[in-house]
Amino acid sequence: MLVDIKNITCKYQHHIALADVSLGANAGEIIVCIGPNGAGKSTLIRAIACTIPLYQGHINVDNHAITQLTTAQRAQLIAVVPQTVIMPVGFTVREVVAMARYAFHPWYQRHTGHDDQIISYAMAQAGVDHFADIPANQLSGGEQQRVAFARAIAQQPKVLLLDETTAHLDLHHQHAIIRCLKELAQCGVLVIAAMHDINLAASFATRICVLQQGHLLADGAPATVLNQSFLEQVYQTPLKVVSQADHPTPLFLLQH
Amino acid sequence: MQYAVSQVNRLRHWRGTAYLLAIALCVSCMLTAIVVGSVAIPIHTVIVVLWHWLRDIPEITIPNNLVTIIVTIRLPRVVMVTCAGAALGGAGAAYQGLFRNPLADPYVIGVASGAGLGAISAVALGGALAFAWYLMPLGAFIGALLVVGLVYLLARGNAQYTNNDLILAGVALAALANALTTYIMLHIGRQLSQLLGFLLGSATIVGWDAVGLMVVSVMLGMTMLLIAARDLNVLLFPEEQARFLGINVARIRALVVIGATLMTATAVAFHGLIGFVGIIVPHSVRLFVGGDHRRLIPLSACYGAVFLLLADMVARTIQSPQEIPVGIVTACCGAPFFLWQLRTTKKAA
Repeated sequence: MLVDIKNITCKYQHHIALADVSLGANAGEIIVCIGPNGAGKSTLIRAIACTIPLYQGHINVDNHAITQLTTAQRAQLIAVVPQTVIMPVGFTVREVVAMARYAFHPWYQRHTGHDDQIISYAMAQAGVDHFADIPANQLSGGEQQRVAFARAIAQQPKVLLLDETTAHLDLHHQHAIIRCLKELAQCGVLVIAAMHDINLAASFATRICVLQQGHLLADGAPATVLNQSFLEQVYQTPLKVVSQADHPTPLFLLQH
Repeated sequence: MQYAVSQVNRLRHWRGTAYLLAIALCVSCMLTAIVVGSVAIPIHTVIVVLWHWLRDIPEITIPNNLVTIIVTIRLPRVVMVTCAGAALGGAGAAYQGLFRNPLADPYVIGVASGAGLGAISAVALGGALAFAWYLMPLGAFIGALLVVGLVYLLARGNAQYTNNDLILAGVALAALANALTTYIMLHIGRQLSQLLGFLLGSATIVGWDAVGLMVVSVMLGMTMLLIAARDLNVLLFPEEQARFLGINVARIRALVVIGATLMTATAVAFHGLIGFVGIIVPHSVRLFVGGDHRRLIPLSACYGAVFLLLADMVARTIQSPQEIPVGIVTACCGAPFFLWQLRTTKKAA
């Protein structure tokens, strides 16, 4: 198992964000976490990336306890695309994507040609290669998000975590990123994404996890997890269901 | 959307020349600074004397008094000004990266004032001792470290890119440190004009011992900054994202704080409070070579030295034979620049 999460509990001061969550995931899976605001989706991403302490339980990635790895070793294994990214002044897109390679070399070593190839490939995958030499802070919000995505790919991670990455993207680029995620999964990358759009999640996930108030309520294939009565109960909202001829899961829409 | 691609390419073209230009300007400014003074010495004489002095061969064709002026008065002073300028320029670039704020500068965030207080306290406490002047750098370093720690704690809550909390915290702490410094100065009572000169940024001690100590500390601080320079780029993102990219945030911050503060404290202890070098220089350099600290920090150090050498020449010649503290010259250039920057960053935010 690539990622093995055993009974983790995470707390922010006295508020419990994740309660006794267990999850095992293999290479090549695309797992999407859905759930209402404050359900613990982002906390789960942070826990795997080891940027918040675990109150209880433990997480193994690639047979290493994540707390035992150095920050640089973790970055070679796990990449995260954050929710919002504000690019600093004075760096081109290529320079920002190149930061992904810092963890692979000590401070006195320069980039190799191999690194340059990885950086160019990652920029092409995320569709930011045509503004490689533009100052990153001059790009629009969606474009900056794609630069962050390219930077995560350039880490060549075994586990790619996305925290509501597609939220700021237009339809074309949502589609492009999802296609890219599928390709990465085929190459053996484990993708774990937190997302709000249930229909988008159902269209490409191999597994759906439903979180509510820190508890993992359901975990399985989209067709088995996503049903009307369950989702209405989780979101406390009446839903309309439209079945699709060409896809096993129906569309879930708000009732008017 | 239209982007200024041609501008970016032009700037990349600048990067190579920036280093050569920096070294050439630095050397020529140092030579000019030796030439210029109450007694103007011809440039070829300066070069001949320096050449012999470096090879440790006695020079007989040039009058002894000129050799003495060059080797024991002007040269140590020029080396000291160069070091102070490099320290303030490099430290300014590092603080701006550390605090993610383009307005951070050793003077603006109060670190220089903290160093001043520390240095003056060391003089007051150890005044009777023969080696009191050598306590100044140590006192300056402790004072500067205290202020940078306090400013960091005060500004920490605000994760914004350009937070003026940092500047306000720095201003308040600088005012407090300056008030205490003035009080201690009045309390000591002796050497008042010399100490006042110190507050306005004029060289306090110029001797080869002091210069040696200064060169060593600036090189030590610079080494720390160059080790941290690459990873400091990632610290321009929020702390959590820096950790996603594999950066040991605490270690890089510690390196930058200690390195930049050591450099600032050295500059202040030996050359008094000089403002705004650390803001004008890194800003101008950033416009030409971009924000990568691996280029920004060394180039800011070089151009900081050039800027302070020029300011020092102005300070020495504008009222010749009298000399005005160099801090007055840099403040006259720097304060308008700072206000202009304050306006532009406010617009951007």
